[in-house]
Amino acid sequence: MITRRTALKLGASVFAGAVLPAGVSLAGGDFKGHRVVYATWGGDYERAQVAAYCDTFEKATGADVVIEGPVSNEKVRVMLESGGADWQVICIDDGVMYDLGNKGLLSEVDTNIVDVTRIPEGLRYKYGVAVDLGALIIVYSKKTFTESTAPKTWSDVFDVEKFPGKRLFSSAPNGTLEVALLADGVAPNALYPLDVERALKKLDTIKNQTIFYDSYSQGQQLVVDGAAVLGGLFSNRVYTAVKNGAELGASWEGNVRNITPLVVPKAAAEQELCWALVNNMLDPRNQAMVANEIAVSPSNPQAIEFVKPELVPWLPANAENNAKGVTVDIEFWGANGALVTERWQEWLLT
Amino acid sequence: MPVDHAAQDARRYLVLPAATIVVVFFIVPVIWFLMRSFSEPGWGLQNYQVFFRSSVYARVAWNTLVISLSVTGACLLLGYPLAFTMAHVRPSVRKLLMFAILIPLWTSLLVRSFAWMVLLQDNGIVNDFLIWTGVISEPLPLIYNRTGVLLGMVQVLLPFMILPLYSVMSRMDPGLLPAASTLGAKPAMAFMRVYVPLSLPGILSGSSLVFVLCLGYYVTPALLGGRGDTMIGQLIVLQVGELGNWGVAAALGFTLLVATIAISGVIFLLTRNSTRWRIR
Repeated sequence: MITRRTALKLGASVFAGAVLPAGVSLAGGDFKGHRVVYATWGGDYERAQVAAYCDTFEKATGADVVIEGPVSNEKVRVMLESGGADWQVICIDDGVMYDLGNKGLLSEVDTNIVDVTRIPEGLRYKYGVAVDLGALIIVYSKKTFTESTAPKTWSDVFDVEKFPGKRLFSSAPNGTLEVALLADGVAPNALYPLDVERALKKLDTIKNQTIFYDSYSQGQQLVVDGAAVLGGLFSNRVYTAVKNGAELGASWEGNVRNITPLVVPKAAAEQELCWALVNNMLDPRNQAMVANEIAVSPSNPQAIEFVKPELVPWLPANAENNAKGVTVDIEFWGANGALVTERWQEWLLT
Repeated sequence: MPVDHAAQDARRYLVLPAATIVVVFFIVPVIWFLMRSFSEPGWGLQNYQVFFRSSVYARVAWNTLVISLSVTGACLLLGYPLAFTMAHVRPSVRKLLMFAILIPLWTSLLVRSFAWMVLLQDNGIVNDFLIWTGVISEPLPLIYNRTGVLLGMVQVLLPFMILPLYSVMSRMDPGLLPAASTLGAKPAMAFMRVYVPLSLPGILSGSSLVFVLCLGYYVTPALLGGRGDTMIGQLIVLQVGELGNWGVAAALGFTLLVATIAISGVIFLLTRNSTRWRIR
């Protein structure tokens, strides 16, 4: 089955890069002979994370990190809701973190062990911390638009007269509603709570010109093949396509960031060890190792100085891109996701 | 010779291992899951109120029904002649046809859906060819709409129609059609009055198999469909995976199950009556 996130993670391609020496800063101590189970999304994403986060942790602490997965939202929900916690540290979707945290199934971040000051305030949560970021950005085909005629803002993407052609957007409301409001002139800091009806009214203006994709791999294929010539797609998808020779351009104006958090179930054994592993994943050098392998963006801004230069323009965490973007409000989506999604589905069908 | 009742009784126990597995690993979890539609977050029917709260559920249910019926009909129209051919050709050709029908089943559903995307999109192989040959000047909208969903699903499900049809047809007496014409029936008449009624069990099992498989589909409509082609399976995945709403997901699943049983029952009754009428 495809969840959007799985498709995103599994599709991230490998780019051989200089592997940096891993610096492990630890506030956890010695865990020789102890064992912790880490569950993540599989594929290249898992391989990169294991090398950067788990192997370095084993070396530094003597702990034994067992990798399980791939994670799926359904699996994590079933496990935790039935009282299990075989997975002690889990890389999960942001919405699931919010939901399970509210249901009392996740531990609060132990800030004595995890140095959360290393990541921006907006990326720290009560029940988890962001390990990496993605960003929804403007993508366009260079075959259709030149540098000077290219769409630069979301308003451009919604302007069917000046920028004719098929658009593409995710078939999920998260992110799509945000960019519709940005296109309609809502200030980035006034986005939440989302005015859903206003966003849908704006989306009405391009509804018949838009292909809604169900997985990021599909979105990537649509724009690479020219089935759509502009729209919104995740930054690492655009990067991957460009790396593979696709003639695509991007604009970071109004990019919408979303995060991948790490969580620890309340029922998990050895909480200290768990949070020590999480702490190791916020290390800038370790995060840079993952970024260099699969082009996901580190949550720790300091990691950027260890990232390959050609990759830096593609990271939502770099200062320039960061200033142009907003982060998805997990609280809003956690509290309103069900009703907003229902309204969104209704809109899609009519 | 007297019937060996003891041996017959003993044989009944052979079904036990399979039955145990079905009950423990299928029936019990399904009941447990469906119960959640009444018990979450509190006891009651609140999860079923979603059907009245938003038009989305009724629309998606309608989509699911229409798409499933269309796919079943198309599979029958395409599969019947093919099954007929398979039942009446030399064994070597039959083997080749059987092989061709089974190949798609060995390929991942996801791969096949992506292959359809390559074929059907605006600058895909099909449209490029039609434009190149001058049949059309603008690309036909073949994908991200109902056409794409139907093409993709029919291709995936066709074997499930052909195999039951073939299994019934291959067991039919090949002398029946010649016998009918000896008695004065024209070929079309012989086919309609003799062959089709006798193949009805195959039509029935093939159609219900395809129809029931359709009802729960979600990958193909998600990849090949447009925004208006959402099926109920997609909504259930969304409720469980993204929203963690087990109650609503279970309510949708329960409704789907009841509808499936009801529709299958109606089809069964209709076909049974029509069989009687035809043969008489």
